[in-house]
Amino acid sequence: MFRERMSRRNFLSTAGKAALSGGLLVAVGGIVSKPKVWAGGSNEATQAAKKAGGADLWRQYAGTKLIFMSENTPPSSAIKARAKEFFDLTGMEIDIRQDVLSTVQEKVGIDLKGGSDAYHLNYAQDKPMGTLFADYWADMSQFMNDPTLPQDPEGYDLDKWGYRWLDVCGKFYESSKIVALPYDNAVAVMFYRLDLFEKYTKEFEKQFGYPLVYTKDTTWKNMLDFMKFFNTGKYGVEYGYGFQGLEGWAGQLDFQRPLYAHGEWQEWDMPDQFLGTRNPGPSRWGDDQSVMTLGKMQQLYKLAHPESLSWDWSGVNNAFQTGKVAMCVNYGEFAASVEDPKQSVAAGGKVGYGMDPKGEPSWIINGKKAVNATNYGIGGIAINGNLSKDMQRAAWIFTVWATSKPLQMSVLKELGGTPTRMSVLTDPEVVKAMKRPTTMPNALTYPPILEAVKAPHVVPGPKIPKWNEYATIQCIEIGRCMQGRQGPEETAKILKKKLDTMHGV
Amino acid sequence: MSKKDTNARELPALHRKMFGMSFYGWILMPAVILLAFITLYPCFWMIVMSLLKVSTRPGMKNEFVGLANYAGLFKDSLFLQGWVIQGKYVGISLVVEFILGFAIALFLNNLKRSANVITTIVLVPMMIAPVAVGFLYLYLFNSSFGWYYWFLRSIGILRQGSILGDMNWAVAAIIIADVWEWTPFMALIFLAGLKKVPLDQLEASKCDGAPPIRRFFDVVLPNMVSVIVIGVLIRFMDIMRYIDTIFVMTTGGPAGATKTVSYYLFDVAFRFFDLGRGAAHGFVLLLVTIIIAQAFVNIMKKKGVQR
Repeated sequence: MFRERMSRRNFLSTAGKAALSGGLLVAVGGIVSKPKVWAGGSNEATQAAKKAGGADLWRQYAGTKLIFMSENTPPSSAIKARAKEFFDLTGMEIDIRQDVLSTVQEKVGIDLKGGSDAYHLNYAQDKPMGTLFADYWADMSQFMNDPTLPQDPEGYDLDKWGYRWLDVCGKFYESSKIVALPYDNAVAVMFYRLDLFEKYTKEFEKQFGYPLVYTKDTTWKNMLDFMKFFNTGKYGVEYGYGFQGLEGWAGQLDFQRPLYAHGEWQEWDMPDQFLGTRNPGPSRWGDDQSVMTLGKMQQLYKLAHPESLSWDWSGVNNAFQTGKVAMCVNYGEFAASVEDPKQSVAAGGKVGYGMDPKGEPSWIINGKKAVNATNYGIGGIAINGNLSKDMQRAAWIFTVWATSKPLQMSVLKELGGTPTRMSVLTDPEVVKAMKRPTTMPNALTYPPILEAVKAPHVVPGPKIPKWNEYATIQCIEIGRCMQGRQGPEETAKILKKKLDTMHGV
Repeated sequence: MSKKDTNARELPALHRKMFGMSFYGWILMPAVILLAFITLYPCFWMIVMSLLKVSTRPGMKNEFVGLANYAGLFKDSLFLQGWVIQGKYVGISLVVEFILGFAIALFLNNLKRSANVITTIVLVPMMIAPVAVGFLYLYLFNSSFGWYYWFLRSIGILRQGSILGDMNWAVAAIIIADVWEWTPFMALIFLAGLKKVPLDQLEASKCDGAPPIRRFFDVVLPNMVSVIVIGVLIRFMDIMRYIDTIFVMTTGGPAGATKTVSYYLFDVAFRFFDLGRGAAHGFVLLLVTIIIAQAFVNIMKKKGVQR
């Protein structure tokens, strides 16, 4: 039938014309759809753009659409729910795309390193993102004193945020450039079953000679006793403690806590751990303290829940909420679900929050202090450096709005956010909410957080460009040690060799 | 003139060569060029990139390093261990999927009633997204509420308190998830092969008094070899690059126990963003896959599989 209607010559001629027209259409479409500041998809955004007055700093880029690639964290979800407010204020649309951190890392990395600008704003998680991509993000200091842009009335100085949080997520390897503003915090604190501690303190005291209480002086050695006690299964839970040694960031942070608690041990010497360094030099792995602590960690892992090497923060939270473990170190943002009776058997005042366990003085041989090693992820908002100047300015407007006190406050109240501004963390309403009964369950974790995120307890790094590779190597080798596949000394030697080779030392 | 006559007159014209190519060849040309562009161009770039140290900072130029990225691979213990893990994962999965797939195909082929419904049900796992399968097994193996965990503990097979947290069990777990998802694929291909086994040969052997096992080995299997080659080959090439369920279930852990060479490639390229090393890694993986697949085809050819 086809052959009856059209000759071969006609077919080829028509197909050629169609291909040429299609190509032209695509080319013209490409030019038309790439203005410097491109309009948002909806009619509302276009109307807002028309209404925008030149004097209104917030609305100068009305009609623009911004895309923010973020981890699926509570503040991102909360801000996504408030996108309409941002639109009403600025006339700009904000499209927040959320995914697991490894996928965010992959997508943002390809975008930035490919010189592209598919994502205008990036989630700047300090170590897994910032250490790799900081050089590709725009320097925000150029916008901070610009009178033609909206500014936060509180400002952006270091003391406006949690202890050095601006340095942790906003500055990498140098102090002159600020690439991100702190936007959410996830600080590690101890979650423990206060109800079980109170109920079984006498039994515990009979066996171990001291009461079953958790304080800021509780050490990792005490943790061994707690685990032995609860692991019997007679006291309301199956295991005493659960680690979160899943390979990747969770494992790196988890192993770092006991390592730093004992003599403030870290892998590398750095002039300033909060800024990091591009060339850290030889690693400290293999020294006596590292071998000693690894040996003690083996004992701890032996008694911890057997799933410990496969759990991250969500996995261990699940075990805690379902009553499988009596204690776990987890991040403050999980208090909201732990305190929710629909999700947790530990809800209703049964949970106590404290600083992470302290180092055991008798396990320290490097002459330094025992501390309550506390680490965290401080997530910032960064602007893609591949954007045009106008788009960077538009993205700055979102950054200012998303990190402002009023927004952090309302997100905390309504959706369980994780504020970064000190003005929110010390607000009288929030301070009141730090005690039960509370309408802001995350605030219950703030007293230990505010005490622990300062020197000497806080351990921010290591901020090095090869952070992801370091974390992988470290998790694998320490994981093998924790499973008893290799001894502490052998593990420390392997780590020294591998990490030094990685840095060409 | 009848339609048959018209076709007879036009077909030779369509096959007539113009610049050495028939009409069909010419109309396929744009698609072939497009396909070549989207496959050969990235492949070419992968090879080029594998010879470079790709810059890690904006404004810095890529540095030509020759074969240093390849040499580096063979000093990388995670890369070498990755091959051992990959060998276990691919080998065990393929063997189990082959055996189970064949058994299921035979069962489905002999069904007298409801064959279509049962076949559809059997095929469901392979229709589920691999990431969803990963989550399904993550929950099934969970020690807090996982049904498989509870079952394995109840029957005394599992003595450890964890499946995904144990280095040996974690490998078994990712193999089980793969077998569950992809055995139906093998079964489907083998079922198609079984339908093509000549009935006259089967009936003749039956008349000659051959028992079922003899009929299977002397009639069914020789007629199935080409289908088996295709099924195993497709599955082999697929599983060599497969990381989805591992990504969800274990992220390569615990302690690197499930970090196959293809998963490690993902780490190097998209977590470490060491793109030159990642390209060399990917090229080696591609070469090994092609060599093994070709060797497999050659062996089959030598054994006389021509159908």
